[in-house]
Amino acid sequence: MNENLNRRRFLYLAGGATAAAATGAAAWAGLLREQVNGAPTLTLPGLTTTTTSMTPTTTTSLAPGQGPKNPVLVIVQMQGGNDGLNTLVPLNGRYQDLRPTLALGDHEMLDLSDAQDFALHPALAPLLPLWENNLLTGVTGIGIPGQGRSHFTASDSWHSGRTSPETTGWLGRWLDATANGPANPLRAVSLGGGAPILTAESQLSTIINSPRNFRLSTPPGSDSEAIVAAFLQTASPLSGDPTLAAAQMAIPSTIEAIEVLGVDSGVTADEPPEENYTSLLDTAAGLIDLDVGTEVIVVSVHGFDTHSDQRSRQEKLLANLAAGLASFRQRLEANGHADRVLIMTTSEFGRRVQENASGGTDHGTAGAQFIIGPNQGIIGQVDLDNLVDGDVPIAVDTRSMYATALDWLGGPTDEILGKKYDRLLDNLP
Amino acid sequence: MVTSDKIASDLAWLTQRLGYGLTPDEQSQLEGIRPATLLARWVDPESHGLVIPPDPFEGLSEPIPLSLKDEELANQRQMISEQYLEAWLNELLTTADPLLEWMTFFWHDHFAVTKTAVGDPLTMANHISLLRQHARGNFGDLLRAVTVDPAMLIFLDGSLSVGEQPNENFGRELMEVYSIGVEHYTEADVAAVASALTGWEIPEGDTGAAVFSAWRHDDTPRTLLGVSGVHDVETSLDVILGHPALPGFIAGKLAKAILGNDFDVNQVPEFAEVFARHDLEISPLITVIAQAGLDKTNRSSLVRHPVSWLINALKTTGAQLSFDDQSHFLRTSNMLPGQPPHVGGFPAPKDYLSASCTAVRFNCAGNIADLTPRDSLVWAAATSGDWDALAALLGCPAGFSDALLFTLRELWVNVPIRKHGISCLTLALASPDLLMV
Repeated sequence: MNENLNRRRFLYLAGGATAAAATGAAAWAGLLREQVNGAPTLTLPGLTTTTTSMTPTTTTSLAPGQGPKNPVLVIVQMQGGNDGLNTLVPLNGRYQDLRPTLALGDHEMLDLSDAQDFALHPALAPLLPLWENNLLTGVTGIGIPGQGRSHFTASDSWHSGRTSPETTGWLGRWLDATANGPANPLRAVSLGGGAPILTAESQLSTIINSPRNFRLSTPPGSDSEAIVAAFLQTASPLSGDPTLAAAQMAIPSTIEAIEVLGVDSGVTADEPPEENYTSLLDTAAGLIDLDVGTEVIVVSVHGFDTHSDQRSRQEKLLANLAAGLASFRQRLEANGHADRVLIMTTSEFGRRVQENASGGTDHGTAGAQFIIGPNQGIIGQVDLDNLVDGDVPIAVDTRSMYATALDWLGGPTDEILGKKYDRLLDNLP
Repeated sequence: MVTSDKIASDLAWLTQRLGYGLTPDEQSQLEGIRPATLLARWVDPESHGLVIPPDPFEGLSEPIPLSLKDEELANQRQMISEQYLEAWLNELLTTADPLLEWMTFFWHDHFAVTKTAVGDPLTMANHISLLRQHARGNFGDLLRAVTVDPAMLIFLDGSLSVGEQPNENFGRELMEVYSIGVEHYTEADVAAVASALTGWEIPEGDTGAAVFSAWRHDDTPRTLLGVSGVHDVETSLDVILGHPALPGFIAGKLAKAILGNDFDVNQVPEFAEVFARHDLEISPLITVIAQAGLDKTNRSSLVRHPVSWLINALKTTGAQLSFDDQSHFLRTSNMLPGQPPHVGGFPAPKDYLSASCTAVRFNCAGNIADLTPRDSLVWAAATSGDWDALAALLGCPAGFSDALLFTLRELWVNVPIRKHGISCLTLALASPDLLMV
């Protein structure tokens, strides 16, 4: 993946004969989208049908001038509700009493130097070096006051940052508030599925389920360039039907994103058809390397709804999570991006303290999350003596974590969250 | 007076909202039929002298021997599961009873059991057969059957839910997702129903029925949704099925699937009343909702999801796309039948406008155009530039949008004659027009 991205980047910037076609289409996509965004009923003049006659542009609309110091936020969503109690374990006698079969033994947990009240799940060992190098913050007892125990209502609250019904996501509102100049479809990218946190009023983000399959191919005997150009042109004029217009608007950003990100069509049948979280993080790292104005990346990891057999399931999930995060961070360091990338985990809820009889736990409220970048030790607390309806009480408002992320991105934080929340990290660069 | 254009447009609407489009042959067979007549025939085929097709999964596979070990077991499961998927896709494409398949898929999206969780392909196939059996039947019968269906008991951990520490997974979704909606129950109701539903298990190696073990069950009478004395599956479902929110919850969901995202929700109480009056029979509910769409009093546009787009494209073109290519398209579109990605079902239609889905749709359109028979009506229309005919054949009797027409005309002029068919058909199939139903 990395090689392909770099090669594409080379072509993209080189402006040679081959690149002209690619960047030409991308330039056109950018121009079209700009007009589409600006004037919903605008009719474009006829598009010429070969890409060679398009004006090759090397900068297109990809936010020229964004230097390597620009901040990037990477959100890793643990879908299904991760059990915070067995992730960042409170060193409190009540923990083992309340979790008779699921509690981790003292000898199993990983000590965190300088943090006497908490230990890590052993599967999170790959994160220990980050802790020791002051790059890891743990946030526990985190949730949104009033969030429900339903996957759907809790997810909605976490996505929007509000407990009342809301159609936009907190990062979607940030995209709208900070939109400047031609929209860049790669400014916000979701990998591995949709990301309601990116839902905006006006700004589009790019959802890539499967980077490996993210490419365009045309049938043998057809005129590839003409068909792709024509496909692009079906986006204009925009229909008065909002649903059809939305389908049209997806085309220019898709083509532009593929031109920048696209892998050549040499995918062999031997490759596994489905992506995994590690390969999605590889794509995320590649995207950051490309330096095409990407500011927000959301990666989804699934399977945390451990109603049964939690011990072995969560162990695998956390091991996968930690290995992915650690290698992602290493790659950022190797490529000189580590200082500008903040990584943050989310999950719609923590799980009930009491285990059920199937070796699992049911839906709860407060959970535990990680922030990789600046270190602030462990934030929050787990008060097992004062459970609320059987759940860990909320000690840290999720919006405080969001406020920290929005500050990292340059805000306007309080405007987006609708209120001034405490910040979790007080030494942002 | 009703014009033939209006009839054609209503027929296209009906056959694409309650089915997956028509082949050119089916289109000519149905020419001139009144849409209401077709609706009556689809909703109740037997009264119209039609035979309901046999279940495509019937007798397809023997149970997998218990003796198989890890890798061999996984291979067998994979192979058999692909057999079922192929049979299912083939049925979607060729069925003589489109509404039956459409409703089966609607319930599959509603209950959203995934083979990833269930494991055994026969158990999963039996679940789909159960949905098909009740697809147009009675919702109460369907919900009762699904509650003790082995696939559901595995999917939401019901088979592990025991005694005094019940597992709430199924109990919560039963009320929130399957019957009344999140605003109508409390956490105490979740706990009560979870206890009442304990005790069901699946005998080792058996893919037949689940069994009830009294010793695993907590029979304490509890209060559920304000009704006391609830202690088992039957009493729980009596309360849930009698809840006043249920008819509107199900009617609203079905109406959205048929009438489109922005349908007028003020009509839901009317649909719900019909559903309740008919003791939760599904057929009258389908009829009243579809009729509201045919009357044009309540219609809105809808994004065609990947299964619908694929089947419509294959039916209208006659292309013989391989099973591997079909399943690759559906998997990469996040809509593989049998594998909903979330307990809430497949993604919302608008999610299929993502960059990923746009790209895989474009690529699949090219494949389908390439495989379209050269002696077909669709190919002739694309080659000769007869855009009205092409639009009608592909399921858009009102014609293509200005954007697509303009682009097709230019493409047709600018590519060599021998490339007209492949280029124009690829473009039409991939276009936003074909994404709308």
